[in-house]
Amino acid sequence: MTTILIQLLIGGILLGGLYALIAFGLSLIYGVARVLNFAHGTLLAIAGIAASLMFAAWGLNPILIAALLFPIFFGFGWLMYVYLLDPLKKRNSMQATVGTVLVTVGLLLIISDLAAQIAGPTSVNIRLPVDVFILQGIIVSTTDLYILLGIAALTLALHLILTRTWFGLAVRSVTQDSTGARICGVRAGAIHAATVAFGSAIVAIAGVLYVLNYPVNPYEGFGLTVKAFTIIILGGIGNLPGALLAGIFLGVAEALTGFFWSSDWAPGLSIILLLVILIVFPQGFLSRRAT
Amino acid sequence: MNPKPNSIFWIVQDNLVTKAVHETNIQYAEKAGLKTLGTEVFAGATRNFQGPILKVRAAQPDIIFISSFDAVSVPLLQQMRQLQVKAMDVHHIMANGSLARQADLEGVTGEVYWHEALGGPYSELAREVLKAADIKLFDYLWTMGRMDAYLVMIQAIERAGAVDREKVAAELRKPGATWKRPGGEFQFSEGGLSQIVSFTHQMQKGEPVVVWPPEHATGKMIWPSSTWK
Repeated sequence: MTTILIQLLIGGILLGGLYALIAFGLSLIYGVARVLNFAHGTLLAIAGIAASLMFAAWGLNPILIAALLFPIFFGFGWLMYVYLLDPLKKRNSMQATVGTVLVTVGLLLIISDLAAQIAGPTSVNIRLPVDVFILQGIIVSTTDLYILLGIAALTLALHLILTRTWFGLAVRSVTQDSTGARICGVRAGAIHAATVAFGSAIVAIAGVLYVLNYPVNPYEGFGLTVKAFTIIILGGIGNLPGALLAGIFLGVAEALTGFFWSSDWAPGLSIILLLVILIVFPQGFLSRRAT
Repeated sequence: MNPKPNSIFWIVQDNLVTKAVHETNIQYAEKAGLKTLGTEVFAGATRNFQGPILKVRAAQPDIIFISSFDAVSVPLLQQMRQLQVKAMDVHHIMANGSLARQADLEGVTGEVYWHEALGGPYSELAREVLKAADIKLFDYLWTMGRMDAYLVMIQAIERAGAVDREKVAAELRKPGATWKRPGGEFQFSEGGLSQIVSFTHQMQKGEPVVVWPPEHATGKMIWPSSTWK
């Protein structure tokens, strides 16, 4: 039973870590720019599809694919903020909130259909040659290790960027006190745009890691966005360490549910958790404002 | 079959179609003397299959029967390979479409409703359409179903003698009516589901080989499957 539990934990941490990467971008974007981006999961799906097409066509190394997609999604995120989301800030609070939802849901639908038209609606993934390591009956594949390394590296890089760079300092200052940050010379508008761009670029890397183990199709993004919402609500909005813990918690909970109860219920667990948390812990378990 | 399989484990997607296929095949399994060791139903949104796979591994069935759509079981087969599941045969009812591009499908058996090498009514037309559309039948799960639907409508209109909605519908609803399709004739069940003959295939060196029934086989089945040892 111990072997089975450890095996389930490994699978849960792997998937949960990927959920957390999706949630990082969403959490950052909402924490700083106050934009509820419903198209966030769809960006991951599009990045995953683009990565699998690039891998199939040119056989590129996934690290190189991630490096190529990062600036593309950064640029897309920047343009999305400047041309679609920023103009909404001139409206009153209610109109801006509803407008943001409408714009991001509309964007979700448009880019899903465009991707399906260009790349086809079926699921795709990147299948690397796999070796496995077996220790006391516990099996870990090389792909699992690549993904775990990718999650750890991206989490560390994100932490360092937010705590040790001018950009991170500016992001945190705008989050804490936008007016104060402006007085000190921080251009809050540019920081908002850069944060949305950066969050979109992070999800592109998460997309490349995701398709190493799981297939994606253009219409899968919304379900992932819901999971990301659950994670940031569980971990506390704007709290990246909280999001990581919450992602892993969700991934492990799904894995354990699949084994001890039924696989049929595992994907729905995030919705159940979301409802329970909103009712019982509306501030989240870890509601510290880290960013 | 040598060695003879004695047990089976069902992995079923939570979907009306795949559940109906599972329920139908339970009867065949019982007739063949196969003991069911477990049934695991999973949701279409499942990505981490370690729970059900670990249950299958513990049960050690001779046959693993996967009743699922193609795309959702891509990670299932991938994780089954990674967790080194062993069986005499892994059978997937839709071992084509999204799965067709996966190396994990090697050695898996499945079902096709027609194959370029098979004959039957309208087979020449089917070959021409596939060639003109530049479609590889195995890559697109629904190609044959859509072509069948088109051919049935043509026959219904011919029998009705007019393009009249009520008359055509009456022809389609006639009990016991037999319809032609590539691969043979078929009837609709009382509920309207088509009851068509399928052909068992096995992926061998990346290509689907029809292995059953013997009169239509294009190759020999490798038993037990060499890739699930």
